Amino acid sequence: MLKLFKYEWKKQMGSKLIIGLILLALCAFYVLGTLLKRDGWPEIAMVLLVLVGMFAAIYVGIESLLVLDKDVRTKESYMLFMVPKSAYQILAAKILAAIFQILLTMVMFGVAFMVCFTAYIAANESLADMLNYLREIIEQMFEVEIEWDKVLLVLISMFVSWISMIASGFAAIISVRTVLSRTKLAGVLAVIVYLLINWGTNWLTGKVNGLSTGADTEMLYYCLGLGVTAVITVILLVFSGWMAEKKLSV
Amino acid sequence: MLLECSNLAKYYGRKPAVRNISLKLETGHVYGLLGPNGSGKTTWMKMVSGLVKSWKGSILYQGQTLNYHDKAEIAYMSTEPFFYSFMKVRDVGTYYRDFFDDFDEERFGRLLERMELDPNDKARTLSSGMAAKLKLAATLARDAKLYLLDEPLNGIDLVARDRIMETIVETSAPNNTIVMSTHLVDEIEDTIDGAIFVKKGEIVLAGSMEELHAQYNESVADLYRKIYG
Repeated sequence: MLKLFKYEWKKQMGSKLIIGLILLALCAFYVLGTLLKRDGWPEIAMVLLVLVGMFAAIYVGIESLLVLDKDVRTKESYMLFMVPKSAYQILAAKILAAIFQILLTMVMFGVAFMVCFTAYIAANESLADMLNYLREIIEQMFEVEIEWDKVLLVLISMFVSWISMIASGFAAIISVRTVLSRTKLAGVLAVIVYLLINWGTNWLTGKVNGLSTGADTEMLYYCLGLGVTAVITVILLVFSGWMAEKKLSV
Repeated sequence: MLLECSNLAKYYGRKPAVRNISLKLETGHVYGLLGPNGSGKTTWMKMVSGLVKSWKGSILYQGQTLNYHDKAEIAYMSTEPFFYSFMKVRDVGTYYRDFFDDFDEERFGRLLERMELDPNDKARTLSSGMAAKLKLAATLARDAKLYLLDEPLNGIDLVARDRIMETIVETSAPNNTIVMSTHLVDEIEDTIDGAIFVKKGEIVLAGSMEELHAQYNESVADLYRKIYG
């Protein structure tokens, strides 16, 4: 499966290179503007960084769906489906690649913001001020009562929701391409099916959550919703794998 | 028996691509799958290579229902270019090496030289003829049990065709089977030892070259003209 992962990774690297180059240019713009005391440059660079960040988050979030759609729509599908690997392995490799691509993008933006932050501190404050500033931040972090279990739950929730979105997309693309492989409207129909699956998932999660109104804690209520989403995600992935294995023609 | 197809059918919407094909292939033969465009040759090959799922019927490979493991022994070459757009010619070899244990990198290198392909060229920028050669080089560098070559001579110039047919003959061995689909019957008549004529998704005539000659006393090319003319 690692070999499948290697090629799924390569398929999505083009966009990361572009994002990386844009980040590099914006960082350079910010750093130069900050160090040379050019009015407006750092502000413009920061606004652009945030905008690029928002766009990148959306694009990278759904890129694996775009890649899968291309994989089943074009002749490149032969490359993927002629290898002696099961459809389940292929989909697992795709999900793994999607997760690592998101992580890579987060790291790239983290580094970019760190560079900008460092330039800002270096240009506007002395080393002592910078250390004081860092100390203040750390102190504030520890003074504020952070409920780490809730933070963790929110992070897990975001991750599960995103994987659920990917699983819905896989199910929509594979089922539409299986039933209507030669229809030009397959792309539009896949989006409609995707929205329907998401609506169904939310409806089911809401129903199950409704059963737990007597739950003692907010945490339990939250975990229940998360559990339902996770189960639906697994069902969607197994369904997608089965469809691709038994019914999908490329 | 290497491969046995029974009552295979595939429809695209209401249009039949393959209807009721039953066929047995034995090891150690080179078969010509003959018929004009749209007769169902490609769909049949894709079904055997696991890319297209049949609507009905069965495919047995070495006596077992065909499954994804069998792709390790079946080398399919599509008629269209299918390599990933980010690949160079040498990356195609790496991809095949990564996924097929029977892939011979040295043979791939020799075939690239013979086909005058530069390993550093981008696969997507190759002309249709060069892309066809690359597909063949990658496919024939495998030591597969069953080769399915869909229109291997399409887009290839006359001189290169001889070289390709030589390579196919070299690849042919007692422990493998080659199926070539084509409508260029004259080009392959001397190479094949069995012919399968497909028309509108059905087999209309099949047999070994000896059987066909004994029965009809005509060349395969003449039979082709008679059937499709």
